[in-house]
Amino acid sequence: MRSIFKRNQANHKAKTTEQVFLKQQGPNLSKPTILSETLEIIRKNTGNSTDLIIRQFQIDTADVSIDAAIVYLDGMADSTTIMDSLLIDGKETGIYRNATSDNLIQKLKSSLLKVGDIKTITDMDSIHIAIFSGDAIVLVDGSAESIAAGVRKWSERGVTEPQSQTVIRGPREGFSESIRINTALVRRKIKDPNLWLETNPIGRISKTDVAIMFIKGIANEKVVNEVRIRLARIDTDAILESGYIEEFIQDETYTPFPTIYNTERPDVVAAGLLEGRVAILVDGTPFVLLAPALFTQFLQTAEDYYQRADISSLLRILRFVSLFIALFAPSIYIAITTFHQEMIPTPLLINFAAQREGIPFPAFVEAILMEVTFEILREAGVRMPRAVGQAVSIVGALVIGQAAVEAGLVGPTMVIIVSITAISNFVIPSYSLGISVRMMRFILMMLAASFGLFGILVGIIALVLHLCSLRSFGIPYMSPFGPLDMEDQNDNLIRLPHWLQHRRPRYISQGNEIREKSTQPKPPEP
Amino acid sequence: MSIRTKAVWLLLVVIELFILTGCWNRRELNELSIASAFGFDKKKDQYQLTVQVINASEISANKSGGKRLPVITQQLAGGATIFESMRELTKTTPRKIYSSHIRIVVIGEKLAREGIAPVLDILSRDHELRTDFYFIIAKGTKAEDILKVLTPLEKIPSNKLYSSLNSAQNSWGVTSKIDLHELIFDLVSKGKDPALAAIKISGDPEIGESQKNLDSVHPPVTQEYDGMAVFHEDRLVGWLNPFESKGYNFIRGQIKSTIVTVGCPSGGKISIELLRENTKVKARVNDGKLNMEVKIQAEGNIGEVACGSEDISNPETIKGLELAANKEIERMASASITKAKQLKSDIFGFGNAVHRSHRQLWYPLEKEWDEHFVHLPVNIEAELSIRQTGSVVESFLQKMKGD
Repeated sequence: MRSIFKRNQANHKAKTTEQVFLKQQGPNLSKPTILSETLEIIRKNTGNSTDLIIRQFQIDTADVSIDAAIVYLDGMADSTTIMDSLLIDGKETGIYRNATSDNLIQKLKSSLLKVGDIKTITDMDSIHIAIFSGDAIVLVDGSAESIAAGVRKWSERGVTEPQSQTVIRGPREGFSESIRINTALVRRKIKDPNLWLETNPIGRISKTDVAIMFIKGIANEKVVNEVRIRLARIDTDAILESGYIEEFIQDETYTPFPTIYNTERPDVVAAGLLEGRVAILVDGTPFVLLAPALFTQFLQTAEDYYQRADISSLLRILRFVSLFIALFAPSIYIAITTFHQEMIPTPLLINFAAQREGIPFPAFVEAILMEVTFEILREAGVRMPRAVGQAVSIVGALVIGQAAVEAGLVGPTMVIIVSITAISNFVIPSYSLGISVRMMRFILMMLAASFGLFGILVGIIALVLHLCSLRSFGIPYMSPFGPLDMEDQNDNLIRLPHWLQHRRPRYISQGNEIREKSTQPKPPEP
Repeated sequence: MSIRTKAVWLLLVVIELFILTGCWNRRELNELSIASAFGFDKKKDQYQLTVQVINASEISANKSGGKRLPVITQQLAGGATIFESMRELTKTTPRKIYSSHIRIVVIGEKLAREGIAPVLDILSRDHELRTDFYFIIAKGTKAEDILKVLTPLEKIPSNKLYSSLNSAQNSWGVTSKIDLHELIFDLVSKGKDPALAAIKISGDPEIGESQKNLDSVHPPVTQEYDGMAVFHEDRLVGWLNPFESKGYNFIRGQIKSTIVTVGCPSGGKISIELLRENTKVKARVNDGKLNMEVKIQAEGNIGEVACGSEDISNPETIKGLELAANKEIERMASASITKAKQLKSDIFGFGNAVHRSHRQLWYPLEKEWDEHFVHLPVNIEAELSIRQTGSVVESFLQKMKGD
């Protein structure tokens, strides 16, 4: 367990973050002191983009009148406050009159601009990055320095209910596309200075803000470092969604199973952080990554912790049962009806045999036909415009249903098998695990059609071996099943009541495991 | 192995899967004829095999009206060996006979008298058979005729044979179900001879095979279990009547539930329903002489009181009833022993009991056990205890008479 991090560290001598992130094409120039030259460079480098606003004006200082300019992107910066300060307040309060050409920049920074986030920058690259991040740049003629004022403001989708992970009981807020809102949503749940946030831009062209969030003292330092290193290793032109990051930093690339958890829910992220996981927030997407992720995590929902323990334990077991149905139902049906008829109870066999009279295809072809049809329907349902959505359900009911049976294409049992498989698949709370299960199902069906139950067994063995070989940021993917950890079973297949969950998951928060010291609730003493 | 080689291997394996689909023992359900019963007869020096094949689409639930076809078809084939006749069948059947689901094997009386052992080998050797089917002997008729009869209520005739064999044993105790393993074990064992359930046909089998048998409220032709067939080694030697069969089951400890009827002192009858039964068979040696001790322990309830003046709330009466029932059970048991001794067939496994407890004594007796069995003293002791009297205590018959 202790040595699992070594492999990654040895293979990749960590480059420092700066080296990678600040790579630029062409030499980095320092800003010219003459205003018109600076503006000329900006215009040239941006190709005179039409949303780039350059407002030039004059400042009458105590000695001379100085040319100045504000540069910002229309639609990404809120220019009113800064305009107010520069054009009106500067004259009215007399700050301009007290300033001289030498200390004008200082005066502006210290007493005029009504903006919280102010930086002084001197090179052209930084100016460009600042402009395209939505900052307003204040340039003054004759000064090597310029001011970047943080007035970013663009229209955003508000905090709405998450679409992918719905609950009956639990918070209804979901992440949105803005990283700032997202970090705030998490911070509101964990009000502790130990919740640390590190942001770096990733992507040579997109320069997307990617933040890692963890609780210092709970999160395993090695994992946090590993996340930092893996993020620093990314060298790509753009990050448009957290899925990019996921593919770049996962442990095992050739696997159908997700080894990094993604969620739209701030409460899930907060819970993950409190267990010692690291959250990776990407600007521009509501999907936040959580690492390390375990297999069992993909079968748990936020609501498991909000409903009573007994109910959620039963629901979890139900989900595991559904997982097995979704994986094995069609393949077991194929195997038993084509190889092991002796295993079917006689009356059922007679019914099966009667249904199969006059069906032209072997059971395997029949199953593939129905499964593929269902996958097509599902994909159509996801991609279609909402307005035509109803058409899919009507057609779907025809294709996978009585009509298919009456047409003599498939038997009624196969319709039931495909339907229960599909419904079971939807019970898996994580969409990404659901997709893996769908793929595995087809492979198992082929094995079943070729070798019967023997083939399914070989498939299961291969599947289990593969799952046990996976790791997520060095943590065994199948833990706490394998390696079996009895203490971690308190929140695995079943969820014990909160007052019994004294420890955090051992494999994730190494070193700081004690979560609480609660005792069983009691009625008052008489 | 590089990723590329891995991928190529994987691709090869997957392609192979598609080619190999349909390997040697894959068969679709609609390519099978599901056999539900086998019947074996002897015709001259040839074996005759009868197979009852289920007509699945007729039995399945979602069948709309119209003329119904028979739910089973019977296929016949003869050959010098059973296996030969099984393959002979392919000349007449459109599909391969699938025999994993047979419920019952019927052996005709003629074949049974000549010896059933040759029939059993293929049944135990063939991998397709599940060995959970039961054997019955056609009494006074051919297996072919037994398997011909269409049955009302239970659509598949062999299912009828199977389930009424079960219920006759479980709640009446006059038949005994025996599967392949037990039968072979009995045949091999020197200390026990097999006894199989016997079935007879009442009515004309020609009518029984036609739809006519189902058209009547009172079916003209029925198959009916009638006692048991007693074997010596693998040859049928005689029959037990239902009374003796019950006694046999008592001694074998195979009674699940049955009715023991005793007479009231004042006339009329009382039925006692047996709920539990346990038998201990012990071989004992007294003064160098071997004798058997059979202890039958049973528990029961009073199920029916058809006599007027018996006061069953009185513990003394219950005692009396218990004694009377014990006598009745002992009578049944000794009747079956007498019959078995006549037939020189140790169907009770007394020889095995001796073997178990007195190994040294057994080996010299083993060779001529039949003779020893005939002269073996058997001491039967029944001990019934009545637990409950049903949901009423006194019969209303008493009140009627009291007026």
